[in-house]
Amino acid sequence: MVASPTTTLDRLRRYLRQNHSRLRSAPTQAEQIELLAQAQQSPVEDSVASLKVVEHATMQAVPVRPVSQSNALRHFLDGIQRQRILYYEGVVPVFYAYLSAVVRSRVDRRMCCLQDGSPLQQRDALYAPLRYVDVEGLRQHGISLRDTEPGDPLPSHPALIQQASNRISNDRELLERELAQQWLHWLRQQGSDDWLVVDGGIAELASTMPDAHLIGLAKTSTGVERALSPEQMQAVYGLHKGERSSVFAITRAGQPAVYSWFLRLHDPTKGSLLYGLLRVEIPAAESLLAHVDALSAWLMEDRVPLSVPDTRYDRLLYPMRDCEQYLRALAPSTAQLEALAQMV
Amino acid sequence: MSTPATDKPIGRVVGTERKPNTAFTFNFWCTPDAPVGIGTIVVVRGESRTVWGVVTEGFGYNDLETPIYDYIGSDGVAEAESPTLRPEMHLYVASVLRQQPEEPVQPPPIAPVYLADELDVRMALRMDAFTPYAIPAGVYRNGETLSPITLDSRFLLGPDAGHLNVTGTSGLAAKTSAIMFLLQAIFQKLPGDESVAALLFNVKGGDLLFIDLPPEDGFLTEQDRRMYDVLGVVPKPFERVVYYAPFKQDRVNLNTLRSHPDLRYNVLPLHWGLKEVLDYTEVMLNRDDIDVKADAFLQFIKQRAVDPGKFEFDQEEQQAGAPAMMPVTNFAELSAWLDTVLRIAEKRGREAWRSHAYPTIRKVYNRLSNLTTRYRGLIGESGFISDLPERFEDRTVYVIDVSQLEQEEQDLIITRVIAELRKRMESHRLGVDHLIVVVDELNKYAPSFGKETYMLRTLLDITERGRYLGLVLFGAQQFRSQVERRVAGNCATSLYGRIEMEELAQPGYSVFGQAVKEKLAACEPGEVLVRHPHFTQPIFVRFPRPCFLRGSEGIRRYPPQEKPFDVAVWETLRELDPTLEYLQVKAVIDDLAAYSNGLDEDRVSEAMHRVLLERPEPSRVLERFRAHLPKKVASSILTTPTGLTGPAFNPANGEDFDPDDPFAGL
Repeated sequence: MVASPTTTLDRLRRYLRQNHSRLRSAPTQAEQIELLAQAQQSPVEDSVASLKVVEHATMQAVPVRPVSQSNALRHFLDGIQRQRILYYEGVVPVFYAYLSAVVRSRVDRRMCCLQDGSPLQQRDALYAPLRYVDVEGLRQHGISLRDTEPGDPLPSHPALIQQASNRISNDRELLERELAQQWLHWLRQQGSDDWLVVDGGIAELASTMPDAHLIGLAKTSTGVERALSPEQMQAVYGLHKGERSSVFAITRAGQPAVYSWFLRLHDPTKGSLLYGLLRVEIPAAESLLAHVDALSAWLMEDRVPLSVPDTRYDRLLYPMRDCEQYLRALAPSTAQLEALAQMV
Repeated sequence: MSTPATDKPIGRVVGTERKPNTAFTFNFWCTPDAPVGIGTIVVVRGESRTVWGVVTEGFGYNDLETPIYDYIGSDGVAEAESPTLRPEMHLYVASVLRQQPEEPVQPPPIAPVYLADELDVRMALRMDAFTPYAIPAGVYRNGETLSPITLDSRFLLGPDAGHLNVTGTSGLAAKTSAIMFLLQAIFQKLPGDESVAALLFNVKGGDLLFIDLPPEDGFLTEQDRRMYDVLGVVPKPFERVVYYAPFKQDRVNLNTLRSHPDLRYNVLPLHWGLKEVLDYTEVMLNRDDIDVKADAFLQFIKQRAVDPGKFEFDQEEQQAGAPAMMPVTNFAELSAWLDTVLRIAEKRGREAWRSHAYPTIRKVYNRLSNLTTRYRGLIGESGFISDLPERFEDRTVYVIDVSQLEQEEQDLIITRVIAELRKRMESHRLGVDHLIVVVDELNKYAPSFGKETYMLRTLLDITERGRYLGLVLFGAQQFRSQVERRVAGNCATSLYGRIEMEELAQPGYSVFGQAVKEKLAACEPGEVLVRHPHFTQPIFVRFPRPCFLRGSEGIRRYPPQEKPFDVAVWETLRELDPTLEYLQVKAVIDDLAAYSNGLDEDRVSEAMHRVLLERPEPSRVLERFRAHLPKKVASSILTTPTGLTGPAFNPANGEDFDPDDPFAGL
């Protein structure tokens, strides 16, 4: 049974109380923000191996018209991670990370958690190169550990931070994927035609469920944009509010193809070229192409309510923000983690 | 005891750094559909602490930071419907009513919040501490569940605390209805070994003139009956009621709307004489009339003539024509005595008499002799007194009907009755353990501004000491801010019905939060906010309509009937001699009319009052009535002026003498 965050924090508190004299304190949360930002400066963008327009001969703008079917974007999945260096064992940073993912469902226009489908996943653990920390002592206290596998010799301090951050992010993505798969299975068991909306790409998921009613929403698409030809770029960036691009297939290395299209949610005259420009992914199944117009229309409906005050409100659907807010409410607070770190 | 309304929590306590909980207030959220509002009693059940509170403020939130976002999101289209609704919640502020354990006093725990069930309401308001003394005041409504709210009789009627003050806009079933229901509850629920009576003034219409009669069918609603049932009070009219009213101008018919023959059996006249009113010249006379000199002479009259009931003139005064002694027991005798005093003074060249100046004596004479005319139905010449009983009786309501009177008559009656009760209170002569006196329009009798009047001093004394001595004030007014602070402040229990916003803006209401004030401004009929010493916070309660015949319906069913003069005289005298025939009385009155050149009603009513004062044997009633009427004088035509010197003047025999009459003494 996985310990709850509260339990883990209690165990950590006991451990730190016993070992604080031997450990070294971590920077404050404010100081860590800069450290972690530097570690995440060069994100690995999945480069697109191929991009092929499948709907039309060339990339075009297609007006999105309202559809008669009621909005079937019923389930929304997102995850969060909260992390901080808790202490140093020698020169090795030991991270505490809390990861969670949730599926929030829209019932009678209200967002909620359906209790039947186990909609919430939470995990927390210490992330560190385990060879360099007091594994035995931590395990005796029942604290979950994740190895950042640094290799030999011990990497530099920035590299250790980078590795831990990557490992935490990967674990969060994995958690989201597991929950998505579980939820899609559950929907299938229910005989439901509802769609599950996830944050980001869906290629990994589509590999196991190629015809699932699954839709991914990418707020940033640097890789795909790089793969666009100048004409295609012209068509995509020239989309007006309520227009979508032609559907195209994209393939990334080691991943199955997915169908994708751009959709302009808001009038770009109010912002930059990318203002309100959302990229949508669905599994590359021919049968799903028939749903593109309806999906686009439903996404347009979901422009309201606005996800303000989130700065990404032009591309962040309100139900996705609701998932984030829900998870943030459950996560250990910054004050809790700060208090824990100050025990050292 | 009913089962808990619900076992499901309706919200959770929240405390933030910006808005923390304290030992006396706490915040909790609820879903918008939770049945919570201002005045709702809730309970926080923590692991080791239970806290009861009453909701005093509410806020509604969704996750919108500013209104402009909603405008932008809907493209300015008001009817636009989004596929997702923003989460909405209500945040409530509750004031702590009670905690368990009581010590140490702490902020409530962050724990689930439940609606209070009946047991919780009892605990929250500490009603468990005074069960044997519980007086039902109304019900607290939680959805369909009604919980009784009771007051501690020791804090309502004394001796621990006492008095009630009711504030509310007139005509919205707050003040009178609340008091009447409470009186019925007191009569039924006060322990049997404690006696209680109530004295009310009916100041308008027939509001309180039929409280001993059942209401019309269907008057009590199902909801009213449920409340009576929950409170354990039997819905019934008052069983023992005595009504009092002064006479009309004819001095034989009673000046009340309860004059239907079927209802006369418990209506008594209220009629006073000289002794009863002389203490209240401050009320009866114009302020300009009572200067220091007049006041001194009035005191002289009271102490030297009226209190002893007679006045003895000295030798010198007797030489000036005064008799040795004159009785001064009623207005007629007082007039004669003053005549004598003035005559003596005139014989001395209008000099001062016993250090009182002639003009002062004449002024007092004029004012006092005028009283029986100004207060014609209330104050009589003869000395016939019909007043409140010597001792009040248990579980009896005494209603004095002043509704048909002029303002000055109302003021005199209320002032004199209250003062009389205070005197009886001091000498332990009330006859009951608790006498409740109900005074409406308290702002008139105990105003917060102006001169300290006799009435104000009396009311202050009653509210300060009455609870120890068994006299309890139930005061009511539309504007509490206009009532003397000490009078209202001495009332341990207060009820607030619907109150206008202008009044609520007064400093006295600053103890209530804005939401409570707004609820007060829109209070429904039959709903009041209760403050009571046992309740840490005021509580909104509902009370059923009192179960008696409304004034308007009573007047429709029993229309007032003014009797012809002779019939009214006959009916009054028949109370002394039930065998008396109408025609016998009529014959006497007709005789007088025949030889007096027309009917002199004053003479007849005066004779009737004298008979009532004498209370002769039944067989002698008619004879005494005739004896008090003017006698027929044998007349003859004078042919010569011989002997026209007139009879000798003897005021002791009640003979008239007018010094300004040029024919006097002829």
